Amino acid sequence: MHSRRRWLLSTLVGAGALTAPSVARADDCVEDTLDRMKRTGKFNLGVRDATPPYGYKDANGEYLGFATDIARRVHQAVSKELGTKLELTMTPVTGQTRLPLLQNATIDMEAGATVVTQARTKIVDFVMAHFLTSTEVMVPADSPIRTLADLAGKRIGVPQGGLEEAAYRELNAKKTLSPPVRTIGFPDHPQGVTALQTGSIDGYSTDGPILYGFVTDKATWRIIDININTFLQAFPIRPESSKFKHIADVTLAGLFASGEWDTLYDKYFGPSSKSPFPMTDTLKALAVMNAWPAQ
Amino acid sequence: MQWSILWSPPYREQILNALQLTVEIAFYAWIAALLIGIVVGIAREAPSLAVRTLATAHVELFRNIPVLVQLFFIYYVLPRLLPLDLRRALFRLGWEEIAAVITLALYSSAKIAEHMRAGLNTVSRHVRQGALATGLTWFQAQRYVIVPLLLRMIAPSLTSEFVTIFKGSSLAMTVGVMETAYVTQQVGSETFRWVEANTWGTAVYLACAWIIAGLMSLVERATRVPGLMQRPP
Repeated sequence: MHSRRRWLLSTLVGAGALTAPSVARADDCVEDTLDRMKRTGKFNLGVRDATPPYGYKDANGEYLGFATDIARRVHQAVSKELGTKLELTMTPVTGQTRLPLLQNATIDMEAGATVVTQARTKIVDFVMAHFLTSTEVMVPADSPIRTLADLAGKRIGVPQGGLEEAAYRELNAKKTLSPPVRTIGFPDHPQGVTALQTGSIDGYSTDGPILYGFVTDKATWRIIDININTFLQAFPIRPESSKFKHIADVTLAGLFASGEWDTLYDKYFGPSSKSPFPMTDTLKALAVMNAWPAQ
Repeated sequence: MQWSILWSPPYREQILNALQLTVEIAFYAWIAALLIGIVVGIAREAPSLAVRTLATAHVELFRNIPVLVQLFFIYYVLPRLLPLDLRRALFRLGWEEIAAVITLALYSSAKIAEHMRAGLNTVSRHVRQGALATGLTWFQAQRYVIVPLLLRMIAPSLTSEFVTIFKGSSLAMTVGVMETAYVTQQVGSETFRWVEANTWGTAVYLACAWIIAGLMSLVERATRVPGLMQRPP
């Protein structure tokens, strides 16, 4: 009897501790990111460490990649604008953590392959788009999977926190894929590709160029475009940061206008790069649209 | 706050499926852990040196590797020992869930075996010798006298092992099992309702742990060995 009463009491105390404090509001959210950088002297960049060619770590532990390189330019531009060299800190993020870390101001901007979606713009803002791709599937070269329809009933890996899971869920719901495809979510791309190598999944599906970044041997792996979507990719930033967004937008527009974007494209996606990704017409159109003139 | 997000399609179905999966993984792992744990626990006191050594190896191996590392090894590495066709058949069965169950079962079985060894000291030597003196073989003595007593003695430790397995089932998310921890993260990243999603996840594990503890306390009470739990002054 006594012990039961004590158990009840401790339960009530525990439940009270859970509900009592309301969630602390981050006041940083209303501060323009530019002002924040000026105040702290830091540019906190969220990077991908295993998403080649957008963002990865080289053998020396240096972060680089198409998106990481562009973000460095934004850092330089902000430093120039503020007239002081901002310290650039790089924090690796995943699909799961990128937006929460942005919201709680651990990072000020994420440089990766994040897709602009309606739901995401409710909570974050985006810099001008730096790339555009679609969801593709990596399969073993001898796999019977050749088109979208072949995915029916197969086990397909996807990255956790990405858009792929919802996309396949919709295809299943619409009976486009019947029997339904079974998605298995992995914390980040390397785990998914490892599972594919082990044979535990029939394919791994995510953004096309990321897949090309993992294909080391064309005789073993094949990548198929299933033509289900085309996504705009941009760097997420905190909302209400118009001053910061302006500098970032202008930096990117400058890269597009000056042809430096093409140079970076060649470096990371060109024919001689590790993950050649042929330039599409829509991508060409993006480059034209984003090349704002300086005046 | 928008709690209805948890109960609106398509998330309601995902959340309920996830809850079912969480309970299933924990339940199967618990049954397996109990069976393996008891066998290994007995084997550690077996007359044969080879059996004892094997049992000790089991405990020292599985108790001393972090569960997450074991899960990765079992999920990613073990299947490579099989020929490709067999491997594919295994994966079709849902290797993610099976690997999670195996991992949790092995880890907990090692700990249950340790609890058994510790509990053995509470079954007095006279009882053990008495059992053998009645003409029972070593195995019969274990089966009919010692283990039944022992299990009743270590019931409280088994409860906490069960709760640990339950919580450990959340690790399955790292290999893509869509159980509660996985789905709360997915709902969070699709809707940005992190507070609602994570509160749900927390509530599920807490409620399940309490239910297990509550049920097991009934079992503990019913199986308590009268007179044996108290030491004479």
